Amino acid sequence: MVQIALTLPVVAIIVAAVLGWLGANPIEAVIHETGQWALWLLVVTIALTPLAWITRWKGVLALRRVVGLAAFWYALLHLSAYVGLDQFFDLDAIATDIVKRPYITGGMLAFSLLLVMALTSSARFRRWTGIRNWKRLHQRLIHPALVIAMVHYGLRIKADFTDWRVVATTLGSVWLLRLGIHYFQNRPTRDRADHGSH
Amino acid sequence: MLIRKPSDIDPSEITDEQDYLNRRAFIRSTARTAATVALGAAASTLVPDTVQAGEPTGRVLPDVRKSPLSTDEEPNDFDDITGYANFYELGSRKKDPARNAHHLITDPWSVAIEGEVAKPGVLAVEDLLKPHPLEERIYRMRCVEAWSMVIPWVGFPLADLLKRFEPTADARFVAFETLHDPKMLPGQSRPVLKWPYVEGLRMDEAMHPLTLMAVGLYGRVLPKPNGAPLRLVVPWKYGFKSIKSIVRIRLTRTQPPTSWSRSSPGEYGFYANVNPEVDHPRWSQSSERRIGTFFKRKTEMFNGYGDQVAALYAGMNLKRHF
Repeated sequence: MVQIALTLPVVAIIVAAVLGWLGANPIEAVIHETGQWALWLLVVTIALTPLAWITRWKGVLALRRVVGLAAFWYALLHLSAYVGLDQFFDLDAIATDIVKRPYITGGMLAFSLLLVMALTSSARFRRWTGIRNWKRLHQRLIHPALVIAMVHYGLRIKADFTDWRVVATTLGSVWLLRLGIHYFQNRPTRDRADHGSH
Repeated sequence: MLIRKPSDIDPSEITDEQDYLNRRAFIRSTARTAATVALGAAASTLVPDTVQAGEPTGRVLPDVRKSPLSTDEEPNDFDDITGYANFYELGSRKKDPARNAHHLITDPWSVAIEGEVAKPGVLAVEDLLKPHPLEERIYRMRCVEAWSMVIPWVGFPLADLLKRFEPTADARFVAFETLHDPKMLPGQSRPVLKWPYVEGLRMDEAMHPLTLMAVGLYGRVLPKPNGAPLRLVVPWKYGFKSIKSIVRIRLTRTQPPTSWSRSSPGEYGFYANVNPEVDHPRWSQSSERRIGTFFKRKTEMFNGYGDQVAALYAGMNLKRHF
């Protein structure tokens, strides 16, 4: 179910592209939309942990990998659209962009982190590393990936940061919530017992 | 700490191959050319007429002459020109100006001509235009964001307008100002740029025969998203120099401030001549995407108008005066 829902945005983009609803610059629109979905899905991924805690519904935790992988697929589409549609596989131009344009460098870097996470996302790999190491690896990658992705997004903006700020505010709130919960969970046992009696 | 057993996640949750393949299909399909050919017929039955549109709208301007200064390149679709525009006063997304255009009332409209002129004045726009025969100028337009269009403007040379007001010997620059009215231009309710939008040209640039005061598009009155009722068009400079919905033209002794340069002086200069050799600090200016085409093309020096305008900048360091 969730997987199907996560393919809906890409279906919508295909339909819009076919019907000519992406406007005068459909390549730019595809790059923008896939990038937005990748970023938002990453934010959702890290929001699921606090959500599970608030709702006390652990089923939500299992979604983290599904949503995180969807974010990776949208990031891959975003990158593919840049390579295949925007640059049309002009490898010289792409290499120059990576070296000279910080927003492209950042995008590539953020994608590399997501790629590592996607490649190590299998249950088999998790068994091999052990759950503790696996979680440590993924927690150490997703937050830097988000920071870099936000810089990458911001560097392409000329003057109006409204849309960027919406993502940044949401992301900041999720981070605060995670920190708060982390602090709460690590309080001495006595406090937690008090809380339980309320 | 929540520590889950590995068995919590089912290996079947890995995105399956079919989803992967669907996405590949999507990438192919967005190569718009193929999509248009394959599904154009289907789309034309599905999409309502209002979306299909495409025909230029607005009052037809009478007696518009052709101009030898026009390019013979194919002009962009009317819908693309009006529906994909940077006019931050009507919103900073490309579709915003068309959506918010109804806020802008262009009748009545008056324009002040002032500063270093013998005959300053405030004129109703109809009176300002009356003495000038209109001509169609099909120009290339290169945006600083590395996309471009070919646009059939209707207008008259700015030089003819300025001469009527008799510039003094001290007039060295021309400063332009857009309407400042957040009710009509709702984008001005947010400080994305310092309002009103201001632009400027050196006197010799302003008097150049290519420099146009545009009042129309596709033979009809200029649409609001494109800067009705009166805008500047300087085809060898990045689009942001071509200020829209002008209410004030002031001739000055000193170089006037310009909006984007004031917002980010390291990225946008006063001259802003199209120059493939001087990159924007954050992106390349060596190529551009012509709206409506798939492959990028090389950007030309002075947007291809070098034969006519390069002499204006003889001896200038264009890397410094970008």
